[in-house]
Amino acid sequence: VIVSRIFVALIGAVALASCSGNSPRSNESRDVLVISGDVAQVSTFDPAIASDDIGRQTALATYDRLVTRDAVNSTVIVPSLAESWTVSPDGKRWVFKIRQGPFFASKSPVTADDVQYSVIRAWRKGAQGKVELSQLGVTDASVDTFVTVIDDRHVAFHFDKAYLPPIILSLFAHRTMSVVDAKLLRRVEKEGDLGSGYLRRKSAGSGPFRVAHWAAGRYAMLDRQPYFGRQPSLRRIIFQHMPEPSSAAYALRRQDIDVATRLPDDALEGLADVDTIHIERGPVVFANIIMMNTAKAPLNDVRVRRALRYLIDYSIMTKLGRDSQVESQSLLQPFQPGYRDRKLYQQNIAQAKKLLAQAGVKSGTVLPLRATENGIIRPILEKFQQNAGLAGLRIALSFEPPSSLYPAIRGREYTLAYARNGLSIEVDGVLTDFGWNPTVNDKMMATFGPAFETSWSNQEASGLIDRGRVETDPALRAKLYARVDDILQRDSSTLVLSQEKPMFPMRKSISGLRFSDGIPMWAWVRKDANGGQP
Amino acid sequence: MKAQFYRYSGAITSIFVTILGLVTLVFMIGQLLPADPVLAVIGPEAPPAQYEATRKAMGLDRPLAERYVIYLGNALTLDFGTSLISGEPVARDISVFLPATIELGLTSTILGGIVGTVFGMLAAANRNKWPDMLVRTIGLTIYSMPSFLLGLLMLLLFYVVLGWSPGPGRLSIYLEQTFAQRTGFFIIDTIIAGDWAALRNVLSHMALPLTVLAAINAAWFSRFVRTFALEEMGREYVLTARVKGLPERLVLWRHIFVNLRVQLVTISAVAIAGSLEGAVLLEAVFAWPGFGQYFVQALGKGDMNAISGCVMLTGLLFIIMNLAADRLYHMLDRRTQ
Repeated sequence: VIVSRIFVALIGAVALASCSGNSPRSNESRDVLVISGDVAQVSTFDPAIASDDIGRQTALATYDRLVTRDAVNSTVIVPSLAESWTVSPDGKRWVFKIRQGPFFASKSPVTADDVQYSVIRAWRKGAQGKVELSQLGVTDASVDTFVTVIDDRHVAFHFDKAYLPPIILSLFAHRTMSVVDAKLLRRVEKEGDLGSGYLRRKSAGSGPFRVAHWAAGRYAMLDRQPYFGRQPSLRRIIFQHMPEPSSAAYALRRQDIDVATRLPDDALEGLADVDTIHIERGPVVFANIIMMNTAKAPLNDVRVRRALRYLIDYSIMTKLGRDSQVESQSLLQPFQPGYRDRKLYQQNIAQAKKLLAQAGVKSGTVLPLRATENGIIRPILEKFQQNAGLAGLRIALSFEPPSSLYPAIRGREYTLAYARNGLSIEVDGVLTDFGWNPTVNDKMMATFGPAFETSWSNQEASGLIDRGRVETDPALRAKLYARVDDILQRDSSTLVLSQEKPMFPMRKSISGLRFSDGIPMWAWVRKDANGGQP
Repeated sequence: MKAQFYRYSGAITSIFVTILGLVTLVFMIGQLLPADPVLAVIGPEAPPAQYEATRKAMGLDRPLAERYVIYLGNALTLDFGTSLISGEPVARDISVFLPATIELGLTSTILGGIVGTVFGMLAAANRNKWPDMLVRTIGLTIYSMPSFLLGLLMLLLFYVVLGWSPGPGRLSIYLEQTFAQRTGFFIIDTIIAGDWAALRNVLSHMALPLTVLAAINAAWFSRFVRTFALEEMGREYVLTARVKGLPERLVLWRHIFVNLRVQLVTISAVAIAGSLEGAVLLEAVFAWPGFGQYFVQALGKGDMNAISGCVMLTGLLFIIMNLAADRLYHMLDRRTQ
């Protein structure tokens, strides 16, 4: 009797505590957007350095750039801080005119000096911005003269070649070219850090939002910036840390959050039939690849690399990854010049065996394959391992955390490695990363990518990419890039398993999500009671 | 007096050696781990130039022995450097995350301990009868179920299906920054601020994880208490008490329970230290920003400064709890002196 009473009392107490303490739901506010994510990954909000998802998304919301990607068609670049630009007859000198009126959150007007400071700063911080600039011929020696101030509203850029306008414009639309408040950062700079200490937890931009609060590992809050001209409908954007995907999915079901990010496919599937939720598909931003280090025998033999391509069951990836995976053996996308809809390889163990025999690879040869878990990759790699076994190769598959695998890839201390590599929206960026490596052992400090990391160098591919960057005839450029794509698929050290697009389950009341270089731009999202419908 | 001096100095030496060993072990683990702390700071996509500059700035280019000496000196003054996660001193970070764990962990251990003890005693008093069977079955079910699964099931039932719980988190995100977080203990902070709506919100967020953790603790306590109590029941003093005609309730609580205190101190010390170390998986399920989460984030990012701080704190906690348990043994049972 006592036990029963205690049980009843306990259950009653829990129910009472839960019910009585449950405050009214506050997420009905139309001007606050709550996004669940891995806030623990954020280490800085510095737009020149930030490399995690939330850091990149914050850079897009808190900073403006000279130009930006069109809200509807992200392949088109439109003016933003700049109202216009002119190009010299030789195509090497670009002058941007800054429009009247944009202000930083500190109330200072945006000037040409800020643009110059931001570009040189992006170079000196040595991160992705330096990669982007160096691909257009900027060097340590030339960076100071590369960008010059004409007057408060005019800034000039001096290129070494007449690169194609879309390539140059996409550089200035890149998040690393975000224009920072030079006056503020000069004031808060410590020990030559160019304001990085300040930007670690704050922002200094002229975008529609500013970083208001950041509690490391817990949440980040962005508030509307009062001096931004066109005010967004949102007042606040909150990134809330939810490490467990199931909990985030539950919170989305209950509408306590508006968007859930980084959900695995099984969690997404559970949300697919919920009436109040729709799933927004982003553009392709990743390629799932197996990197083959050509510095290690027998992968220096193109026949072996080709044989491995015949050992992949390409259909599994899309079956397991459902809507997030796009079956593709190419790194290019349909809208990019040089893309061809074709599948060069199909699983063919006999053909792989034949190629391995021609290359003189003995049966039982062991190839270590290092990978990191990402929810769907294990069965694909295990099938590859199984097929390789049938062809006489022993694939020693091992899984490890990214913090140990990435240094090994960077140091080229591996044989085979699975990686999830970012794909640029610009064809030149993609082909440069994967195909441009004219000097295989010369550590190109600023332009490393899978080509460098796999010790793969193909003079023809590198030359074609160089030509493509300045080729003005679209048809010829497409032809050059189609040839590079062909070389990459037949000869290169990158085995493409699939392309991947991120999925964003969100409340149906959320609309207007756009992407810039595959990164969601939350600033201009609308949260309406009628689900964004007119 | 002299004996007391030797005893205390021996204890202090033992603590010092343990801490020194712990610090050395943490340092060695940091050196042996394949995780790259530089990449943890700059991200995998940063170019080599930035990599080298950061490596130098972190002092990783210095000789191992030099790094160990610096590390040792800092650790002994509880200076673990700056966390890569927050950019703040590790000690400050711990002071932010630890109150969340204490608030939840300590409360659930106390609650679970009381409930588990009562149920354990009742089960022992009703050996092999239905109350005993019920307590054992429920206890075993809870105890053997993975904690994260239990947490997710509870969340699904009370949050998604019934809508009784306000869901994951320590506080509704809308209420962050609305009251001064002076102590880090939200219950206390909201009371100081006089923000009763926020207090209600804090308590309602706490209810479900508290219940789950308390249930796990209760299951653990009840198993031990039942076993200890059954052992005591066979002793002569219990027989004497019964022969004297004492009611069973008094035999149980005035005689048997009193003799279980030493064992209870032992399991309580372990439970409290364990709860403060962080119910890592449950903190993840309930998005509870506690010490366990901080530890996991540090491990995930290869943040050796934060890892060192967390390991040291956990080690110190166990040492303190052991010392406290030792002192309590002496107080409760004079024979052990």
